[in-house]
Amino acid sequence: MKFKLIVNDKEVEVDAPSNIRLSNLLKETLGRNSIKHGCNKGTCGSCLILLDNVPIYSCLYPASRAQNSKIITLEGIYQKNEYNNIVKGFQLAGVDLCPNCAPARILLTYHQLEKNRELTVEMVDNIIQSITCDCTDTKSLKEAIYLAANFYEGDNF
Amino acid sequence: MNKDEFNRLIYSGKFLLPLDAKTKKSYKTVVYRSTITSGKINKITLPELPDNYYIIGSEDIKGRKTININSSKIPILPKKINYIGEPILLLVGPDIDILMNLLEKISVDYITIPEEEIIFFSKEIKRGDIDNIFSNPYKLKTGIIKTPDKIINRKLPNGSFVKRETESLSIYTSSIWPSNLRDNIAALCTLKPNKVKVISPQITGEDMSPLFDSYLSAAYAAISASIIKKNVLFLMNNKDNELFPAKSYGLEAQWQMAYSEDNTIQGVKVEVTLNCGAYPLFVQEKVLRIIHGITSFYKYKSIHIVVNGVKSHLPPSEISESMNLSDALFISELLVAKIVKATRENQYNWRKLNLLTKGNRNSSQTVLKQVIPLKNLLEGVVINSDFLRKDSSINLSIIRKNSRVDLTKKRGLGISVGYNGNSFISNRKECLTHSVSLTLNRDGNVELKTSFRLSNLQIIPIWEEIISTTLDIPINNITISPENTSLIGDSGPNILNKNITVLTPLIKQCSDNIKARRFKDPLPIIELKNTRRISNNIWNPIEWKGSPFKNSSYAACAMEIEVDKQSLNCKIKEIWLGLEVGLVIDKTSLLKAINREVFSTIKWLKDQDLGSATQGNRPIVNIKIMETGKNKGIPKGLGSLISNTLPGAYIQGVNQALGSNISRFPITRDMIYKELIKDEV
Repeated sequence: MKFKLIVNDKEVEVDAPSNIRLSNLLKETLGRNSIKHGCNKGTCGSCLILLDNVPIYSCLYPASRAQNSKIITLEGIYQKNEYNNIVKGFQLAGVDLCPNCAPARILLTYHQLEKNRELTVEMVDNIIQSITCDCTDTKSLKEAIYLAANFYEGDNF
Repeated sequence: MNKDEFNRLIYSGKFLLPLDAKTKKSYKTVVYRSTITSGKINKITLPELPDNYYIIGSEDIKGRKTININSSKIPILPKKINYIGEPILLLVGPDIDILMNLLEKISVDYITIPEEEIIFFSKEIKRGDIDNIFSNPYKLKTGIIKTPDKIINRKLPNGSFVKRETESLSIYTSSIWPSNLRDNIAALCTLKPNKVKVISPQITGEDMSPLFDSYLSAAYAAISASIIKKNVLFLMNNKDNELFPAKSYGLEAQWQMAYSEDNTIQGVKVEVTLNCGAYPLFVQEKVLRIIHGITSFYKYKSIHIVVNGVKSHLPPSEISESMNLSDALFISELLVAKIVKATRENQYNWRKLNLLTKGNRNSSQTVLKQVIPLKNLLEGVVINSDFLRKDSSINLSIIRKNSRVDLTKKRGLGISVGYNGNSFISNRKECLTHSVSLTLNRDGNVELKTSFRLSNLQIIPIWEEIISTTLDIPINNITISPENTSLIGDSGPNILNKNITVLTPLIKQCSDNIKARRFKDPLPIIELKNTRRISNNIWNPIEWKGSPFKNSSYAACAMEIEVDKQSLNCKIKEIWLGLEVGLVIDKTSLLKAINREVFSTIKWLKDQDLGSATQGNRPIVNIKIMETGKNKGIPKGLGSLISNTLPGAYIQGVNQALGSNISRFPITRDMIYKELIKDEV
């Protein structure tokens, strides 16, 4: 089956089996390594992407449903200033994320801050709980997200 | 590569994990599992295979048909079945869907064999006149203490990718013991060890992941790749992950206490059963550690303890970070609580009188030469938590029976102590490969190579700090990398933080030596240090003589529990922790690690995912860190210290709140309801 997607603002056309998961299509066929092999059942969150600006677990999403959709992975925001500012916040909080959850956490923080820069407790809890990796304690993650929000628009901390 | 460079790769998603290396056209492997618990394969009926699809059985393995881990020989694709779900065939082919279809068409005829009762390893310790006491006791009390199974977190998916080159294999896996895995794969595939390369991620962000699972997945992919001569990927599917999670089984302890006429305890007998699963993995280490955990920090005049590592027809028990020490310390604390209850003393006062200190004899009848700060730590948490006042108040309310009128909440308090012996107790040579090489180059840069597979980012700044302050060299000029494990073995799994505790003093020694030679000898100056097996005079595990651990870390804990009578919810209100973890270089990181460990232990205690819990459900954690005497210069690490300490205090608190005699966790609503009904009746 032919898939037509807009991945990180670029139109892509690929051939893949019709029953392929979106995570597999992006990772294996299109080589987006920021999506990690996870639980494949929507629990761990390491395959999180933005599909038409909505965060989804791509392992639960059939690629056939994503035809002509706009997909953003971490590679799509890597060159942006906002990405650097979020990472600055995480590093200042002294958070050492593991390679499996870091891309998803950064992408989700970026998405939340794009939507609303004034974070509420619920929003922060959502960011933390959407990815169930316990490599870092919740308190540090909260601190990191608030710091990322402070840095988001530039050095205004 | 320093910590910042690692972080840059990790945050950009460019850090490659083992399965990121797989190629598009790699073949896939799936396993066919046995459907009986014990038996032999009589006949296998195979479906017709399409082109490029293969079935592999044990007869196709060219080399040794076993995986050897710590003197245990575990058969690969065996003909004799030892547990339900044991892999017996491999199916290899390019398409995973066709493989799954083929899997359903295989039928195997078995001859069932009665399940065996085997004790893999047993150890017994007797102190005092135990036979006489138990031959004619005035009163005898018995009971059972149980600890639950522990699922080993799997951060990375269980899978391996094997890249085949001419006469050599590159194995991409998340193994925590790569050099031993390399030797095993070489023996399975009849290759020279230098023809097998194990590539495991240098930093995985975790200290512990399943050991045995990674061996099996690498073995299946490597066997398939060497037979069909293609690149092969083995990735465990969701169904298998659900059915066969990596588990460390809990303990079951049967205890007996003999009382005299004046209600004092004369002697204690404990028989602990350790379920090893179908094959023994580190069984000697686990058994000895359990004995040490139960006997080594309280004064028992007469004690008889037997620990049996038994076979069961379940998947092999994995190694957990604490190696069953947390279960053993839970049993120990619960036994102490029962003794204190029987003697009608105060929990704190009894412990204060009976905890071992420097100069006392331990269970191996050796005089303790090291400072054991448990008494001081316990005193600290008792003062901070206002334990004595709260304890009296709760006891008074029990006497006045106020709790029967109050329909909402019941409170309880518990205290416990724990330790973390940072090394292997069984003193086996293969587990003690720790080496460090430090080089001061001509350009002023320092290169540190260790046998430790860098599994934790936190350790890098500590080592950088030690080298930087000793040699007065900027941190940017220091490079830390793992040693070439094709020449020497790696330090193995980082159980109980042993690698950090053992390697850091070696790094300090190397730095001091280079400092002394710096302006005398020509550059480059190379310093090598490695550890040797502990002499039998210092520690003899067979005769149980001496002291096994050099740099243990210690902890004491007080916990306040609140049981809601309406929601039947058992809530941990507040935790007070006192810790002695040697030299603390980065206090913020340590506090973060403690918080993380506290919540993962609560998850184990309550058997629930706290990830979704709101802030209101999380207890307040008060932490006090103590640095004592001689150990100041060595960081001893946290390891499994928190999970070793918390369970004892938790159950004591629950028992005080409910007036119950519960000897297991997790505490379910059903258990709370039954206890409350007793009280109301």
